[in-house]
Amino acid sequence: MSKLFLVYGALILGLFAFADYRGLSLTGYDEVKNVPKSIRNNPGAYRSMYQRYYHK
Amino acid sequence: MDGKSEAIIPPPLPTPTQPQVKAFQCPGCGGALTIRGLEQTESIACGSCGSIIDITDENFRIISTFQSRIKHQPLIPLGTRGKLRGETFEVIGYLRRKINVEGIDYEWSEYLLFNPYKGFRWLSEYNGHWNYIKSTSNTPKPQSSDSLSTVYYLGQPFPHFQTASAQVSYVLGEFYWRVQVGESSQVSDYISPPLILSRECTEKEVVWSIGEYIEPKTLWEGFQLKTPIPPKIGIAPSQPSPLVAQARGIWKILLIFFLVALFIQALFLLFSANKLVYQDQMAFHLADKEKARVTEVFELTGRPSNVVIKSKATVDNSWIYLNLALINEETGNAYDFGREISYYHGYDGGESWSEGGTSDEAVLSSVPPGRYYLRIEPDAAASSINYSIQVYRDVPSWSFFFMAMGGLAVYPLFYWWRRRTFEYYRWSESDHPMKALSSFVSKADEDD
Repeated sequence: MSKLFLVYGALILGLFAFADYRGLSLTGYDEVKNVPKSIRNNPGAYRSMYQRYYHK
Repeated sequence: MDGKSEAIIPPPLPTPTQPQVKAFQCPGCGGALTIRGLEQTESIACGSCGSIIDITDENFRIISTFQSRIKHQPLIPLGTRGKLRGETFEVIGYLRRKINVEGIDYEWSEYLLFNPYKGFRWLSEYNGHWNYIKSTSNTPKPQSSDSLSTVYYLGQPFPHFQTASAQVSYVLGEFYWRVQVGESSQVSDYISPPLILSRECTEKEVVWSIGEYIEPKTLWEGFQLKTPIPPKIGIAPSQPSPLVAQARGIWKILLIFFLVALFIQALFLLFSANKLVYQDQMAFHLADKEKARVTEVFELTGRPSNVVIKSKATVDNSWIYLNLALINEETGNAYDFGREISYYHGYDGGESWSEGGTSDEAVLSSVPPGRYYLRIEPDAAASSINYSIQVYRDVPSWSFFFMAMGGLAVYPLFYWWRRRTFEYYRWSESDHPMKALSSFVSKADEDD
């Protein structure tokens, strides 16, 4: 029993240390690839996944 | 006599006769009976005809007879010799006793063991659970005058388990008193697993005995029995919990884990950069044709880590929605997300209320180092709202620390639940049953 808890606890601590090291978060976001550099000059041309929003 | 003194040699002591069993015929049915108790027993029950015979009477007078629909077969046959706790005993008597609780009879077996030098011992068996019992002259001390309270035996507390009137329902073999089927005594049990203290009270006397839970495997090996061991059913009053020994170890390990987690968290708090890499004040105007804008480029350094974007807006009974994207200038990778800031407040029925807030925080995880800028596209119903954006790199967080604490607590909590369940079932047949955990939940629901 104690050995099982040792393994389980070590796993939890390992995951916790990894999450903190990599700065993980529970907030959701989407990754978009290959955004052209021209967006800096024309921000309106960027098509966001969150563009259309309906206020509650 | 020559005047000289002569040593007087006493006559030799008679050689003690070897203890011998005595066989005779049952006066009721003529069946063969054997007396093993070596003049220390007073009665013997015949298994064939149910006669209980007074063996102190030279004519072997029948004291009583009993009828039993079932002829019980003892699991350890009479006459079997075996070793228990380093001492050899012979099984000389077997009886069944019962108590009645709420209209239901609960029966158990008792075996009388005899050793000519050690005296008598008992084995009790109920649902496959065994106790090795002997009388004790140490009278336990009660905690209070209440007979249902805890008693102290040799300094150890024994909580009260059950009190009931026990009646003999079947007898076989020899006993050191004139046993009768139907005779009853008030029995009170007190437990401190693996020990059980029993108080038997009749009109004539009060007898205390101390028992210890014993594994059937030990008995079968000691008595060299070849029959299969009956399975255990339920949990016996004195049955030791297999979980108790590990309890202390688990809580100690939990404390060590907690300290390690605290140390890890302290390291991250100490060595996290928590660096402000960008900030700006902006304004949203409903009239603007193009609302999207981009910020200056800023550098995110170090290992892949989080980026925290804090936004504030001067909303007052209104809202603003920020469509945000953190874009890597070199690779073209973008982290796309949206955040709403809304704040409403009022006065209703004599009480003020508020909802929402004027600030927000978004965390992007594991962002690689590089040169980045933010694309911001605000949307709002109001004509004009001021807002600000701050971007932090490598910000320490407590959320995973508390999640780790919760995760670590699961195991000991589950262990505690198993221990409590074991004790719940132990005490379920006592005079003091434990409340089920579900009853606390249903009570909480009723209170709500």
